[in-house]
Amino acid sequence: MKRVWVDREKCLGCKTCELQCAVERNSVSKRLSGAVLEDPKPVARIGVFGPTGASFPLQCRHCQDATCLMACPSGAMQRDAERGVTFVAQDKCRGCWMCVMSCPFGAVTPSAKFKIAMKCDACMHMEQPACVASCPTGALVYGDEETYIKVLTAKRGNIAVYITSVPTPSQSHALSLDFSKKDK
Amino acid sequence: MKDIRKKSFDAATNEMLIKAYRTKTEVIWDRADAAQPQCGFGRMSICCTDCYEGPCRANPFALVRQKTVCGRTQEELVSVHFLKQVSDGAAALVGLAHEFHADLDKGIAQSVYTTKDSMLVPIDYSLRMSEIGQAAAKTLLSISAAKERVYGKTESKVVSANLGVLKADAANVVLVGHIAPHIVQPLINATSKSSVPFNITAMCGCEANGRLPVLTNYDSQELPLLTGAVDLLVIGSQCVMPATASLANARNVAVIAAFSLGNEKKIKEAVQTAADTFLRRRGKDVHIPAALDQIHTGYTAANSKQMLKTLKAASAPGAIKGVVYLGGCGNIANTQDAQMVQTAARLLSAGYLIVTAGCAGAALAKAGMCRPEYVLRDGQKGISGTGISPVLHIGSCHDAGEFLMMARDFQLIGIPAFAVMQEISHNKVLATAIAFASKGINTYIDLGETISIPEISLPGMVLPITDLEQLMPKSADAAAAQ
Repeated sequence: MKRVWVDREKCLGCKTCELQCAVERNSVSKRLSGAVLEDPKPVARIGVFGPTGASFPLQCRHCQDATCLMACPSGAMQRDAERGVTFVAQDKCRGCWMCVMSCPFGAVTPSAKFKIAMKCDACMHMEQPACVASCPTGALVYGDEETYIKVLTAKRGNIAVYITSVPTPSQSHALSLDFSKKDK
Repeated sequence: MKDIRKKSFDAATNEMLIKAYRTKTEVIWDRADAAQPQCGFGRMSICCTDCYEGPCRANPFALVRQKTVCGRTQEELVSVHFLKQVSDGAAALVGLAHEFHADLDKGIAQSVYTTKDSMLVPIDYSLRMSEIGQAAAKTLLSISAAKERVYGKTESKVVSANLGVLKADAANVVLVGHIAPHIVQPLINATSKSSVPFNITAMCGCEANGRLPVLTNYDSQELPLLTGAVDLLVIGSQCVMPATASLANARNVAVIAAFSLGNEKKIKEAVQTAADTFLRRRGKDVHIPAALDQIHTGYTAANSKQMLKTLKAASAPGAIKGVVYLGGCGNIANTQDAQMVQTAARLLSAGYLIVTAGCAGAALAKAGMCRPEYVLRDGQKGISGTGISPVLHIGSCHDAGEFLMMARDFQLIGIPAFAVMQEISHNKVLATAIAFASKGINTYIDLGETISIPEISLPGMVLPITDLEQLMPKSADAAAAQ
């Protein structure tokens, strides 16, 4: 499943992702200069939190066992079967905020103006999520797990570990992963 | 607001912060919390908004080094930004000098100014720094001379410090922000003629050469308004937070710009406003923390000459390692005053005398350090018994010219001088640091951990504050001293 990965060491807290998410996904004019003048103000589905120097961009994690899916009484919170991404079907949402309360990350924003819940949907209908496209340091990466492991590898300069088979209970394997040696 | 008791080293400030929290009054600590996280590009000075082809930023994590649209590299961004901050600080000092009617060459403003349109890093960066530093030094000396013209040759005095200087039964006037002496003195005179008892206080700078009590420093400047005892706020042109003026308005405390008090009529009106406000609130509850410290202040190069003679005679050679100017503003990200007090205590333990001013001076004053009774550790064997205060408070940070003159006198009796600018927030202080360095005084500067100091060579060295560790004693006594 393609998701947005975060390299928190690269996040400098510039909040460009917040601006671009709001402009791309929630504004009428789709331009920054127009978006800032709009009423109601465009809402970003990503937030950069944390103290200066340890900031972290946080959007919906599209959990495998999503609490918001279980909490939604109207069936507005759905998962796209093909992409695995959770999203809000805005026509069905009644603004009960059960998802807002149940999300362990606080990633769902209640919109008082439109009376619906707003949540990141990994820009699934777009080529690339707005936040990923706009991040100046490359802290945000869009891809599946393999993409992310490649990013991690490049960052740590080490071997990539792929587990191709899971041991059954009758077999016992001791897997030792040595991350400090190259080319082994 | 979380962790209120860790916001400031000063108990009175924390007490007022609890009051701010309970009355839901927004103060600088709330705004700083809401601003988190602050942008890392700005913190590291690797962004630029000098022109409209920008704004540009250099990605510090890129494999291929990123340049701005006009072609500056990351290092050049830092250097040029540093230069412009120093230049701006020097311009601020020149502005103060003009306000104080100081005697300054007509060309000096032009010589310190660096326009945003000049995009190249100067070919001789150190020379440009030196020019600005020399101009800033001249400006500081001219400000000291202007003050002497108004007040004459003054002696050092004992005044009170901290929020307890506000009085429940007098009209309290608070002066904030570098106000010209020729405005302060007539104001003091006018209030003494009023039928209502008056209490004039200064925010950090002892505006009247040591005759005004010191309230508090920059970050806590909104808090005196929360006492309910402030009857008039007179604001200067620099170092006044907009929030202070709007908080005063919200609490129906009149705010008067100092420059408008140029004539007697206006001063009389201001005094009347303060008196009326006081009479309206007299008898009602005010919340003034019982925090009062005595500080010995108003030291100048002129009135210290006798003290220096005593020092030379009384102390064993080498007992006093040096004299240190401890300046700086304070940074809201840290516990207020804590680092300055700690640095001062360690320097004193290590055998240095301290000259302090401005917001750093207020920090030390609130900690009770600016008096002879604070001779605390072995490091002061050189001066205990002489009655000399180990920390000499000279007034506002714009009085740093006095230290320039004092440094010369100290050096003549064999005591070397250097400077430490802890937690610099405002450009004036950065410019003062460069002024000191351009006059041969080694200066340690603290701009926060992310900002790197470009390489400059001046007669005195400009060093990061972490280098100060080398001067401190490494023994266990030093750790106990903290």
